[in-house]
Amino acid sequence: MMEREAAPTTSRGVSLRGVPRQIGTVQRRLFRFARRKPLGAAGLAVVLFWVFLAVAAPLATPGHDPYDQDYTVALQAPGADSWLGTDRFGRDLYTRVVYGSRISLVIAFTAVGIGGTLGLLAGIASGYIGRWVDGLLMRLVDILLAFPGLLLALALIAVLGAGVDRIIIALTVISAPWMMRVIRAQTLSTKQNLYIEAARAMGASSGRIMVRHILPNVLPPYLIIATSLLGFFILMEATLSFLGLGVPPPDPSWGRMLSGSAQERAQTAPWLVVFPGIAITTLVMGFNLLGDALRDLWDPRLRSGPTG
Amino acid sequence: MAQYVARRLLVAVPALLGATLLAFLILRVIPGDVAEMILRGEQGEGAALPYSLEQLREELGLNRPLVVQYTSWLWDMARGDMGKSLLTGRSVGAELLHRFPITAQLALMAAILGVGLGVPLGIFTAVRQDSWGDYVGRLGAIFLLGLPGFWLGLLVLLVGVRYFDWIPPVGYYALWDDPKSNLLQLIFPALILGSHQMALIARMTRSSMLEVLREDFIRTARAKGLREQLVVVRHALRNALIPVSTLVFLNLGALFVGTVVMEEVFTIPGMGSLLLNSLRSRDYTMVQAIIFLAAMAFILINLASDLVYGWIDPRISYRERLGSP
Repeated sequence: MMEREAAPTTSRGVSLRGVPRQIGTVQRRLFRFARRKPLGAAGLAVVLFWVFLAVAAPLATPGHDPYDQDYTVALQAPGADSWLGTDRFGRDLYTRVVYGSRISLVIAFTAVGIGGTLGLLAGIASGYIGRWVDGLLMRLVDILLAFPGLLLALALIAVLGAGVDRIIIALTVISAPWMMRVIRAQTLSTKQNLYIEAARAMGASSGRIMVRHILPNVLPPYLIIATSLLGFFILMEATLSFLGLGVPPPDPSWGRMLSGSAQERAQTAPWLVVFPGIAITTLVMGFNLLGDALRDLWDPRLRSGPTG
Repeated sequence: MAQYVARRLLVAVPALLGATLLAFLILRVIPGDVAEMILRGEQGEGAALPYSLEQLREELGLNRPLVVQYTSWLWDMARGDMGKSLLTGRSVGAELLHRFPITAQLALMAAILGVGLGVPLGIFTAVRQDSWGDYVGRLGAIFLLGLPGFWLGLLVLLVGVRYFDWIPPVGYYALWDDPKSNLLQLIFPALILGSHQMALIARMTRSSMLEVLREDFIRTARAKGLREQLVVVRHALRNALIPVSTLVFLNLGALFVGTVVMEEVFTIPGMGSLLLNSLRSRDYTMVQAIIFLAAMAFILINLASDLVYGWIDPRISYRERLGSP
């Protein structure tokens, strides 16, 4: 599958002539992706939208600060000055939602970055080396995967306490075994290829084979799992924060915004309940749509997959 | 088969031990003196308990070596003695027994809704592949999967109270004492949890149906003039449901966790809200017991689903599924 995606480097598009080859290829790939997987492209667009807002948060929220309290404008309905209304401390909800994307994305990307990389390395080592390394790591994975993610997170937070760093630790612990199991399976099947045997016959070291031959082959499943985990973790952080076991106040976390006072005041100030939820839903759905599309394109076994 | 069961059990044992260790450590790895932290709290907001420091240490058995603590704790758990709640002093086991039925009912209702709606939807979207109905059904499923359950719950409450003057009953109503209040309390959380299950099950059923519908024996069934309905239900569905059944089984665990959130939103006095309240009030013996029991339940469900899988589909090679040489 990778070969087919990587092969078409012959430039046929007339309009792209003169454009440096590398850029042209990326553009064309994106264009083809959008045509084959419109829903996936929509998901990518939504994700990019939120990433952009998160990066440019101060520019996107002129005249407001996510922490500034002003009781004279508390609980105002959406209007010209505060686009999505204000909360009970008079903080601008739009600004807090925009800054909330920073927290969500940072937590999700950090957890997937650390946990996914650990899972990737452990998965390749486990699959390629086998023997006791494999036995030991797989027992550990069995234990961790025996529990649903949220329960594991709750148990870890019971031990560690709440806080942004603790959530990241909990989510990292959840992501590593998922990643590892998939990467291990992919490594095992890649290992059967003749070119691995050829490489070994030519005297390549195990390290070289793992880096040069196994790694490129396990990258597609890595990206698929990472994308789905990102969506899952956005939801998980929101849930934990909603339950009061995640991001502590006053940081603007989407889940936290929906708990406590938002619930109590839902009848008089429904915007407090509506908008942070829309933010969570769009970002999670963006990652899910993108992940589904990548799975359809890259994982031949799920070719006729459930969404696409 | 016997060998397979034995191997599965062998895999489950370390998981069970790991789970007990995790639950055990909840009370022990917190830095500093746990008893002191329970009583005073990190910032002096500790639970006001009818205990003195020495009493609490004694109660938790913290003044003994770790190995002794672990084995005696394990022995207590095995006998069903889960200790006393740090907050109320009541027996943890009795409290759990009181809370369990309502959570189980909620999870069961959601599972029934999920299977009852998800399987037909999956069949429909598979049989009418690439039709408008298929697209709408699949998009709907993606949409439902992206919706945070707790937010959907908040919206239901918002709309219910605002436009229908509906407030969910608070408190505990047994199904056989007060069926109306019981159902009114549980129907919306069950629908929300169930809709999520439905989306998962519909997707799985669809892809599994599509795969089976391409098989030769389906073509044979059609060629011999069988009615399409019979082909779909009797030949395709029976095979397509095999992977779906494992999903349903495995999801029972996820459903129980889902109830944690729903119980919080709809103030239902089940195990989930008990876990959350115990976490918040540092009732560590309670947290420990719930996590321990949940972990046991998940491992046993996993084991059972593996066994059931082998039972419904005799073609499955057990050695292959274990993925070991």
